[in-house]
Amino acid sequence: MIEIKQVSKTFEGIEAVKDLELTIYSQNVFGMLGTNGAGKSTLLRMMAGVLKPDKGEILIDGMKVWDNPEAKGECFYISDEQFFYPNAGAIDMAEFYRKYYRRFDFQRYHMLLESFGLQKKRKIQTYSKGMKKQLSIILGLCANVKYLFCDETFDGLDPVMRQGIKSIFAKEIDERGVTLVIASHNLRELEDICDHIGLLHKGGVLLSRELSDLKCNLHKIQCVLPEHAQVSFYEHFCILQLEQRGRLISMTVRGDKEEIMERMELLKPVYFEALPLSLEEIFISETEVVGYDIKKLIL
Amino acid sequence: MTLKNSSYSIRTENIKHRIGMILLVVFLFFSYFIWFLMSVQNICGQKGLKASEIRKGITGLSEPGMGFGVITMIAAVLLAVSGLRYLHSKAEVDFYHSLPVRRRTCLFVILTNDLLIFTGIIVIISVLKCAVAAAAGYFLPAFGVNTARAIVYDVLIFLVTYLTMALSMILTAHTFVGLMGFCVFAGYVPLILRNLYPALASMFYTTYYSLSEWGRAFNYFSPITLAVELISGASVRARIISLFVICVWNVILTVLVFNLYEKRASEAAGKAMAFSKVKPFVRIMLVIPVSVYVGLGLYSISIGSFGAWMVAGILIGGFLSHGMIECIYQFDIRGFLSHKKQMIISIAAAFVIVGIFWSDIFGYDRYVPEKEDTASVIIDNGILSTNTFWGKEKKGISGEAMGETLDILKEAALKNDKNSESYYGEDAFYDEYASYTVRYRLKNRKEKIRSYILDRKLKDKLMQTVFSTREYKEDRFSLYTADWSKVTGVYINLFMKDEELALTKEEREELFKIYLEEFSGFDYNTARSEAPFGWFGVYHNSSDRQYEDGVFHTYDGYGAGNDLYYLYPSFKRTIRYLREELGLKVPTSIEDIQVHKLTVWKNGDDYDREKSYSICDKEFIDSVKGKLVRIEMTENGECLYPLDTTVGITAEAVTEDGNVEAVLYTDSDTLEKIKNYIKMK
Repeated sequence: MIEIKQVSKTFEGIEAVKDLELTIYSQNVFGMLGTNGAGKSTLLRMMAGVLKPDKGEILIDGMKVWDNPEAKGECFYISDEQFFYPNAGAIDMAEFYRKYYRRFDFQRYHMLLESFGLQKKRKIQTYSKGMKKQLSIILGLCANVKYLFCDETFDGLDPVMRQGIKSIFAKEIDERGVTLVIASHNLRELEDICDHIGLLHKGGVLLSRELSDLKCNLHKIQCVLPEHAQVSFYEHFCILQLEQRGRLISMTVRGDKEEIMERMELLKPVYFEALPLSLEEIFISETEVVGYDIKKLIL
Repeated sequence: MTLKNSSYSIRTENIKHRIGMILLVVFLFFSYFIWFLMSVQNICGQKGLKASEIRKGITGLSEPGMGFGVITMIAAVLLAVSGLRYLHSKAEVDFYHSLPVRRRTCLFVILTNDLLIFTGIIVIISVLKCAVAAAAGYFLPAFGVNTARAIVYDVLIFLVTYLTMALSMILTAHTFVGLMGFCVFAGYVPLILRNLYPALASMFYTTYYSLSEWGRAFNYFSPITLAVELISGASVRARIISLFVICVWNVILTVLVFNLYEKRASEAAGKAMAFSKVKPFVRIMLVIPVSVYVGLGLYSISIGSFGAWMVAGILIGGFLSHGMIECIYQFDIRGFLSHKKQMIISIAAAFVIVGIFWSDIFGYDRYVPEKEDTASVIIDNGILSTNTFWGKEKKGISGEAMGETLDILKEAALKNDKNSESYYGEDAFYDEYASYTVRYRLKNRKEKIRSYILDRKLKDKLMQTVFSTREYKEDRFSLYTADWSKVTGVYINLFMKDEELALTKEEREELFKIYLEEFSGFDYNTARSEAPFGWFGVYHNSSDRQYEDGVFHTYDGYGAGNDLYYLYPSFKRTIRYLREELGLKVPTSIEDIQVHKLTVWKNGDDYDREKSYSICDKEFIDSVKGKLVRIEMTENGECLYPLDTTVGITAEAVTEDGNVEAVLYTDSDTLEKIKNYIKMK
């Protein structure tokens, strides 16, 4: 478990992270979302022990992470611009990491390199951006750590590779109980992999919730009522958002799906249906409630 | 994997990924070894050298030297930069600092790796040097001792340079800025600060005397000058002090480097400075002296030292240096005008500093101590004679004469500005003004030094007071208090030739005794009216300075000297002793010289032989030759006889060695007589 307690970090007077409180449970995929400059990378770098929080502390399995090799030995940080030694090949980098991560799985490394089609002897500096990204993910996976911190991991990967990586991640969680923390500004990328979502904005956590909870509790209803029908929807439903175009009414409603359907039946609409909400729509609705104009923030 | 193995692995990985720079360092030392081989071969192959000389030459090569010191410092800078360069790259900082290893361990590995690499290289080079010396057949125990000493020196120099560079890399966040930081660390105290006071004082204080030894302790605040002090220290004591200082610095720097490394924020990578709080301090510390120097520079090169250039220089220097530093801090030319308040404060501070000196707020030039505060006054003419004086420690004038001297010096201090202007002006000529350096020894054991320009009247007044005192003569003429056993030779000079006097110890001592007795009774007024006709010189070893090889040197060696003692016609006993007791066939008066021709010419830059006049009238020549004084006497010592240096005279004479020539001056009256003679003819 990762506990982030009242953590703050300021860069030259700009508060990148402010009094952030968050708990990331083990064997989870935690999606850290937010706009550019929301503090995702800063938080991730603090979790990896690269940056020292100005205030507060970060604990990994109860151990302070800052300058603590034991805690840092349990996590691997995949940076958005991973460093590789000039002139080093894939094997050289694995040799390097093996000296720091005692459980480094060299056999699996070779296997994954082959699966991904990465040439072992080729210099990394000749790899494409996507190939470097793949290599850094493979290195992270083979380090056999409990926590994997990925910063914009899917950037630069083609759709096939993205799905491939996601399935490997899923397998890792199933087989080894790895905890993944993925920072991204792209909601769609994380929708099908995250168990838990944390939305960061202006250095704080806007919300942190299980994805299933979010999805089960919110519904998008579209309906057409009989002509001249006078209904106050706000009296019947817990509405987060309501929009009317002609006679077509669209609304985002919080509550149990069965109950909402029953109430709709009672209104005797000409037509009605319940549509699934995308993660993006969920966030737009949730954040509007707390007063954020999320449409401007999320892609 | 055990912790020990893990640490070893980290160590090997660190070396593996810096192999290029390490090989460059190895190449540097290999080049030195090639130079050593060639030097040994050159010494051995030199024709006519004795075995002992070859042995001495080869043993000399094992001494700690500046060449190796420079390579050591370059190696230290290269290794420190390659080891800590990663701190300046965001990607590398993320990479290294996310690894499960303590920061302290990381730095420890880099630092000890570099030290081990360097030590390994110099030990191998030293072993090879010993092997080469042994193979050539000239390996002495001294070679081994020197080599071991050199290893200790070089390791210490490496460490102090490496740690300074490491400190600079940690304090900054960009390698270029880091290298500039090292230059600041290396040059700030010994160059910028050390010279600031002398530059200001010599510009504004007319009584300031620049001591070459001033601020030597400033050298202990830079790895480069500290290394120079350690390697080229003038004495064993000086080297021990440097050794101690370098050890202290290594401890301080190690503590600083480790602490700052741990406190250094990883997010600083890529900026100019890692610790933003240091920025104003560094900027102000640089802008103030730069402003002062630029102001002084423009002021000194302007004709007549025009004050407005000083003001302009300070403003320009402050504005530009502040702006440039700010541009470096921000990596943006638009940062030039940032922190205007700090710029104004820095420039204002520069103005205050210059103002203090310019207006002489503390009364430096007016300073003459009170009689009750003064223990004694030492008077040297021109420059201080500390390097040439080989007598006992100077006592200075005390008592009543000191009181009178202080009164005269008070007058001199008041007139000093005017006299300095005339002295350094174009119209001044020899004997019109005289420069004196005075050391006030105070009762509180402090010493103040001032330099005065005295006009003729003041000089006469001062000399009439001090010349007759025994203390003045003992302080001015080493022979009074020197250890005569250190005298290595005596010669006499009357015309163009030095004549060595082959004297026994007793004869020499008798000559000195007679001369000094006569000189003690020689008063200033006589010295002004009597032209010296020659001098005897005393070759001697240095009095108490023991040099590198532990022996005193002969007159042609380092540290030895040559004193001149003028001979006056009134020194009858001395002349008699030379002629009668010693039976020397040396001329003992200019009267004995058969001068047959005088050529008179105008002295100065426009010297033209065509405009010279020759006098061959023996009767006239004999009437004036007793008033002629060799030109060397105005250059090599204090000649009190009043000479007019506007006209030069070349005298031709016949001696035992044939025709010889000498260039001379004479006094104003005699010169007038010569001029009248030429006019008449």
